[in-house]
Amino acid sequence: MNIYQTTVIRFLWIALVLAGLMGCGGKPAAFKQTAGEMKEGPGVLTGEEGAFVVYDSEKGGGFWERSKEKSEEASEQAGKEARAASDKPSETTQVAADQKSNEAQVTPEEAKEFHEFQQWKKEQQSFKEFQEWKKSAAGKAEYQEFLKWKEWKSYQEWKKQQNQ
Amino acid sequence: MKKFSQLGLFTLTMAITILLILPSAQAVDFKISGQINRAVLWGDNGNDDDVKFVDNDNSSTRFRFTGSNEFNEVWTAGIVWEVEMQSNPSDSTDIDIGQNGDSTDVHFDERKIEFYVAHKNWGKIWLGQGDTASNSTSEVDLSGTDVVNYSSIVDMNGGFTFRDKDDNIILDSNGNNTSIGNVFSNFDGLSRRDRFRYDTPTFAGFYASTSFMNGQTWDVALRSAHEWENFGKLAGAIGYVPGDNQRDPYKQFSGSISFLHNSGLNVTLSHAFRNFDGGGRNTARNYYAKLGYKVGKWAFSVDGTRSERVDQNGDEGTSFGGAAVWNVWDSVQFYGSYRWNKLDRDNQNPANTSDPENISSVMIGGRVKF
Repeated sequence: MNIYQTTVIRFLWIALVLAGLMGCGGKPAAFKQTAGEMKEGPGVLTGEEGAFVVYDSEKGGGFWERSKEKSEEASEQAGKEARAASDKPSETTQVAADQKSNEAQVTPEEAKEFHEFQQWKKEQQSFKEFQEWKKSAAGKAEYQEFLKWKEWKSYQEWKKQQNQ
Repeated sequence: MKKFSQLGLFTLTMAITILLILPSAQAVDFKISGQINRAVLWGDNGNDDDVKFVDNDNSSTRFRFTGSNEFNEVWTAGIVWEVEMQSNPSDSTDIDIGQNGDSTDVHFDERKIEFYVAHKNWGKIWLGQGDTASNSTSEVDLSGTDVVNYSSIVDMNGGFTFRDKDDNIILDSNGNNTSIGNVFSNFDGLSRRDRFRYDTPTFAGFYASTSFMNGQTWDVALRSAHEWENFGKLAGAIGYVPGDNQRDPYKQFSGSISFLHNSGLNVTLSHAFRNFDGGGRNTARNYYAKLGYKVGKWAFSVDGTRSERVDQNGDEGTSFGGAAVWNVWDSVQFYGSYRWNKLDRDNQNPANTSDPENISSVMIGGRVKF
């Protein structure tokens, strides 16, 4: 038996012992190569994610967030312009509002923003729940039913349009 | 280079477009990440010593684009485009002790340009430039010091040449310079290549891989990872390259195993050998062992390597090293390492006047993920 065969057999023994050891109550774990690879975990610029998220259908992302912010800014600007075009509030109302906001340390705009933020959070949560429900095996049949219902609903709308 | 960039950009654009446009996706993501890994490297070749400012080749400076599309509960597809850009790679001969300049040819180097399709029960296929099945099978390491010290010891200072007592570069039997990178190797599979690769699903913590590439070359590997709640974690890999073709005229086995105890103590072993087809070469071998300790934000290790007949018959390389890594923040780590390299050469080139002098090196640096 040459040295080549001896080493092969040695390797096989090591593999066998390894397999036996791992079978002894060991729980399978994720194999992750670290040597030579890029550092795992958070990044100095990218935070906990460790990567600049250009797009993520579940978490959002840089472009997604920016476009959302942009549209929010645009709608806010449009609202301001509309308000400016309408009747200006009386001076006394303004003073009262200022006093109130100073007392509470929260301006009406901030309160509105906070309310919108809460609504957005709720929507995010319900969207996440919907995604998880879609993924779950239990949701499968129900999801099919939901799709059929959506189909029926669009059919009803089409029918309504036809009658008009 | 320009052609490569254009082709890469086109491929990336197409892949992202496909990933984002395809309907019925449950989860789509596209991310950019990267790291900078720079160090100061001091070396002493027995005649002269020098300080270098380098890119740590243990884990080079790079960035990558990744994207995936989870179509449903079973099917997923994704892309990986990873490139490195190193100014003064720490293993380059351009920065040998006594060389005063910087390495000049700084450019993007392809690491991974590939896509994959995965099925929950059938496994995963890859197509493109990326890890071959056997790549990294010599490099399983749970010590936490692999950023500066692991079985591929040449990454730290592989470009430093051995010298005789008169400062002549040690030459091999063909008259070529002999550097640390020529004398030591962990024979780690077939690295990254343009290939087709298949990974099986994981069965009880084990999965197998195989890949095929140009030159009728193929390889196989087996990997595993297990953990015990009150004991520790064990990971291992073995790989085989049948070779015997024009591209890889050898057979090669490689394997490594690493155990991390819950106390932080860890041990890593790596062994590989290459059986040359001809050329009068005897089997080349490498043995590597590392003992480490992880505590809090710190990781420490000491290691030893012995490489036999890597450059030519009658060669024996020995190396010992020590390393400390401080994970100061989650995204930033600093490290320091000392390494001692020795070459025993039976068949000296007549041009050399004495045995090779030993080489000592110290590397201090940091890796920042962005």
